[in-house]
Amino acid sequence: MKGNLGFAAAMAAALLAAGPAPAEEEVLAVRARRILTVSGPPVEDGVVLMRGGRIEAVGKVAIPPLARVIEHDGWVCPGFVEAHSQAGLDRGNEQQPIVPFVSALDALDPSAQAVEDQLREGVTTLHVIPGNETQIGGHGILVKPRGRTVEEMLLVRSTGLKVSLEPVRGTTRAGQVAALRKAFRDALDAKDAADRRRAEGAATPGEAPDPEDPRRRGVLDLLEGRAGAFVHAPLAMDVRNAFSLCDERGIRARFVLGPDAWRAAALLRARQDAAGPEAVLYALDPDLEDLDRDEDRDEERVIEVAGVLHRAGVRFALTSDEGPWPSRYPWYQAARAVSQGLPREAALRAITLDAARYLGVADRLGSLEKGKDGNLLLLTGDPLSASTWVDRVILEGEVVYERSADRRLRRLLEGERREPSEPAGGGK
Amino acid sequence: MRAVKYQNVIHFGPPAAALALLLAAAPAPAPAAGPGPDPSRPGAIRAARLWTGSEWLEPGVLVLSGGRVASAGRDLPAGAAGPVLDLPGAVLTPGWIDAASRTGIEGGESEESRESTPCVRPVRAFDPRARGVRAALATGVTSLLLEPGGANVIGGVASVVKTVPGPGGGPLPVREEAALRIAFGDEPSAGNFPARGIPLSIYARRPTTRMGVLAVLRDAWMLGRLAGREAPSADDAALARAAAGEIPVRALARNAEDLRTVLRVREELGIRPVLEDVSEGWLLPGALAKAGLDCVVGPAIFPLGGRGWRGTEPALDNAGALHRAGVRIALTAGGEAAGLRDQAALAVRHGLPRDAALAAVTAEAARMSGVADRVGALRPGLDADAAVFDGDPLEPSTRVLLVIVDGRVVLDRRAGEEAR
Repeated sequence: MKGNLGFAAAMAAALLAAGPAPAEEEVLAVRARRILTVSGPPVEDGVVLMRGGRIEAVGKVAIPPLARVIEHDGWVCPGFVEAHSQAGLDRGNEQQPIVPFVSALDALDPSAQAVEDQLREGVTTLHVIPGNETQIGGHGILVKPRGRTVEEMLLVRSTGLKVSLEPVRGTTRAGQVAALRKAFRDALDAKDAADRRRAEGAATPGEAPDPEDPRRRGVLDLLEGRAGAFVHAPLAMDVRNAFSLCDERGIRARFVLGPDAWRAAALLRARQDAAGPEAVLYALDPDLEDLDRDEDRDEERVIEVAGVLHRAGVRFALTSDEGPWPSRYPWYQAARAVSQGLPREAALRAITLDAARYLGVADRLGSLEKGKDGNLLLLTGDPLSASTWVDRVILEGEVVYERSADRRLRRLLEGERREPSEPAGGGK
Repeated sequence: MRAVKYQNVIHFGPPAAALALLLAAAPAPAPAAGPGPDPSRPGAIRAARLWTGSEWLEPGVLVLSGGRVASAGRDLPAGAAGPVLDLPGAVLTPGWIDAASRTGIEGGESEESRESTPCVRPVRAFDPRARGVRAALATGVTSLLLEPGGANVIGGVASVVKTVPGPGGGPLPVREEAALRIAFGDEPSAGNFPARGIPLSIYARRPTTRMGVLAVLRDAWMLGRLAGREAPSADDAALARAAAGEIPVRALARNAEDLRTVLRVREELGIRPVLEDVSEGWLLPGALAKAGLDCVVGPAIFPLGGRGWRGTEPALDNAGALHRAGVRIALTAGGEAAGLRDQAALAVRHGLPRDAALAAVTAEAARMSGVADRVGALRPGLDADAAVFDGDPLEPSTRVLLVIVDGRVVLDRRAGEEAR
């Protein structure tokens, strides 16, 4: 399982290129009633001190005289990390099933409403990656939901390639796996053929498949360890296939699991144990319930997936969707997981630190610790409560969202009259 | 597999299975539980907080007897029959009611062969063991006002049913003739046959315009009045009873234009309907309050692409705006009743006071459905329908622990608790 190891290192190396500009040495201090650091115990009446966009100290620390101070009569927690999303993409997938040469980078619309909505709900890091209706779907990117261009938003240019075991239209489950194996084999064959020709000194372009061909290049990146994979395994049976597919070829992989995954809990746990005490290998589909049907007794049981996996010792990132229902909110997904038996701390971790671990960026994101990016939410209360609002979002030490100035939120809540309002005296 | 032993399970089995689960998994319910009393029929439940339907009792003790509420108070009276369930930290409410639901109607919600089907009763096609109904029960919803879909001008007769099967496995009605359901707006006219061309079926439905909908409605009401007591058909009989005010009228009215239409024609037709959905109610809350019309408010869902539910002007705080203007409201999940708790939690998030939200899914929902003498509150003599939560019922992080219908524990999920 060496594949699991290099993941964080590769992502961290990629992330160094981005990150907050250290040129600005502004010092910002947030004093709050309760600080949920996620990595450690909560701090009551403490301070988060940021310098140049990074966290310098958390706890009961003295505030430097020239610091800008925000007094917040509420709670503070790390910005949410959305581990798997298609927010801001026009479509989730290309129609072609094997497209390792496309990237979310080229499709993310920075002005999309979905991107703005993320910030309002407290998401400060967003993993945008092609959807699951594919075989090899293209590259994901890690962004912050703020900026006029994708470049401004960008944290990691390529997080890895989407690989899916959900059969695309017209394919069977076995066919899907076979197609993936064939794609891997073809890329390696093409490389071998080119190597052979080069060795024979008879490299004639166009004569045989060129390994530098972008259609193969992405697959080779996957097979040679330059890119990781996010493997969608919707059913428990796909989990086994996904593991063997990746291990055969030494592919560094993270997995996107469907609600059926609880049946593979032991398998998931074993791989996680082999990957290390802090490894988070799995992201859960937003649908956190599965129906288990007993045909003989004509009975159905609702399986609460987050609760079951947690009890089996499986760590995971929770994800949300982009629909109109409350499952679009990360806090709601975490709250639902609590109702299924996840402790509150684990639920909050699943949308912050564990999501960052899943993405291999936990050295920089996901908790309030010295040295990490100054990404935090100033909340009116408990982040998992339906009545809590995000008052402010601080992203890399800068206040980028204020609820009091959020005109769209006002419109959403109160509505926008597109016709004359009720005449005076219409009331009771 | 290891996971199987630990899974959180909601059993949707027959009563025997539910009982078996209770016996196997629940901790000894109470010191009073001897070998004799039936543990699925508690004599009393003690919780940290109890919502009666209109007020909080802290702590709260619900005493049950013969499937009915004997009392709801702060102290345990002497001589409760049956085991006492002591649930410290728990919150107890009346069983929740979705006051405008189509959950569990098998085989289509609207009878679309005609545009007016007053004698159709969805309760006849209601499967109390349907997946959606069991899911609703698992969230604490114990009654539904079951109504036909909105594709007909006059859809049929709505009934209030429990979310558990009756003695023979069929529906367990609370009130069979709860309301006659009519619909305004473009839903009854959408997809009907145009004036020109050859109809593809002998069932050529009218109307095709908003004004046509009104014409059908006036027509029906006139027929109903004329038919009176000597109604020649079941359809006319249902209309006659609604026109005479003997059964209440429910009116689907989503957008502001529909609501204004209702305000205009209610006197002409002599009706005082309970309004349903009311997505654009926030545009004219004062007029609705002045008219004294009750509203079963549909779900506030996040508007994608700037538009709301079925093309209406969205305002997430619709329920709150109506409440503040003095309109009495109930809430509906607008489809699958299992979503009612989320809708109530979101309504609170968006501005509806907590107690108003709880009333909107209990006492107010019962009143607007004409069943306040049976369900929706924990008052002596009412059905012992209750839901017990491990915290604030308006928080998505809260777990349903117990659901009780007619005094019997039909769902027990306390077993999953030990893992917390």
